Amino acid sequence: MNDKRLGTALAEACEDRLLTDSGALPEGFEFSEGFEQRMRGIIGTERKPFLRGRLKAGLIIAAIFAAGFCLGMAREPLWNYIVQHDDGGRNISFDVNTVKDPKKKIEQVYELGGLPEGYDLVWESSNREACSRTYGLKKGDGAELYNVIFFGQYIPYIYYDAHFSDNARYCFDEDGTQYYVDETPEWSGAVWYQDGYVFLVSGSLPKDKILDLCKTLKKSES
Amino acid sequence: MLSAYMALIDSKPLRKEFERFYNDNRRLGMSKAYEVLGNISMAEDALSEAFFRLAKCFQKVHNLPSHKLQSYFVIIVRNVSIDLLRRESRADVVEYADEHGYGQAPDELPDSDAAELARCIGLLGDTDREILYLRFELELDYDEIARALGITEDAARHRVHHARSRLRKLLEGECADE
Repeated sequence: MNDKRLGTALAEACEDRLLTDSGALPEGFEFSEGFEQRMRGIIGTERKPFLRGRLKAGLIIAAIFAAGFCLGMAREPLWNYIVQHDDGGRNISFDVNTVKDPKKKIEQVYELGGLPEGYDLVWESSNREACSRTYGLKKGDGAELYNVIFFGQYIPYIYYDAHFSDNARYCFDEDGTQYYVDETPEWSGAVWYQDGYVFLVSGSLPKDKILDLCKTLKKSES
Repeated sequence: MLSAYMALIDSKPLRKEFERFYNDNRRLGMSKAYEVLGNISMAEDALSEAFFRLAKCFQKVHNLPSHKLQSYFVIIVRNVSIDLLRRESRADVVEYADEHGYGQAPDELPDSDAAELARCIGLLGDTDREILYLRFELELDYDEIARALGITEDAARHRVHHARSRLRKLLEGECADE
């Protein structure tokens, strides 16, 4: 018997059963807010905030802007993006013309030296143009994923059409490093240019923790 | 929003496609997880883990016909749920003994008519039937099966071989005798 015939028979035996919803869920079931938050982390969907949420987000943005201004947001950016506005945010592409020494391939791999406790590597990918790693926080002693932190290293030429919210702003830290920072109540992320590469750190952590994590960047020894 | 999801699915159209799939299928996935676990909180944990696994290999499987992609996703949900249940109940994980000469080329299945084949497939356990479906109908590589089920590539080969051997035995003996 060939595999094709076996496959067809298996499809007939499996698909109806797999796709039939037995209606096992309790009546009136709604997903919990904890689940919705976790999934927004993976999917990246936006939640329409209530008025209180909007006010809170407004205050956060104002605070970020004020803090950023004190840190030197008014300075001329060291590097820039090409921005295209999109539904619910903006797509940005790194403007390679604003830097002098962009790498054309990954010559040195970098890593984060200060991951929070409990986060393990759950996925990684690398090629000549990009390296990325996803770290997951496991819940209890089980294997299910709870929170994730993403770290990416790219050559500037391929960093394009990254989706940001309208909250995203440039800021400078005390060492003069320029970041493009995005923050929502659930997620924060920071992008910066260093040593010829674009780096990205994002995750379900507050912006300050994400920026602390960015500062632990180091050359990988492996 | 910046999210770790950017790492898992590179292109924007694919991200939109995944989001659509998520919105269309999360209730079905939840129902399947709840069937296995009987607990809302655990079922939500299993479902989020299943979507995360799907995101990791979405690039490779998104072109499947929609009902086959749904079937693939439900198999992931069921496997994550069963793993979770085993951990919670501290039940022993079924180990597949190497009684069929794993490592050798898999045995050819004997010819049989469609009705007999369907009857023998029906006698297989869900786990065996579903892993054969992933391999022989969806034609996934062993590493893709391994990622979906959260097992090693070697364990995926082992399970496929085991399930196929079981089906061969049924076709040769027990099933034909019924």
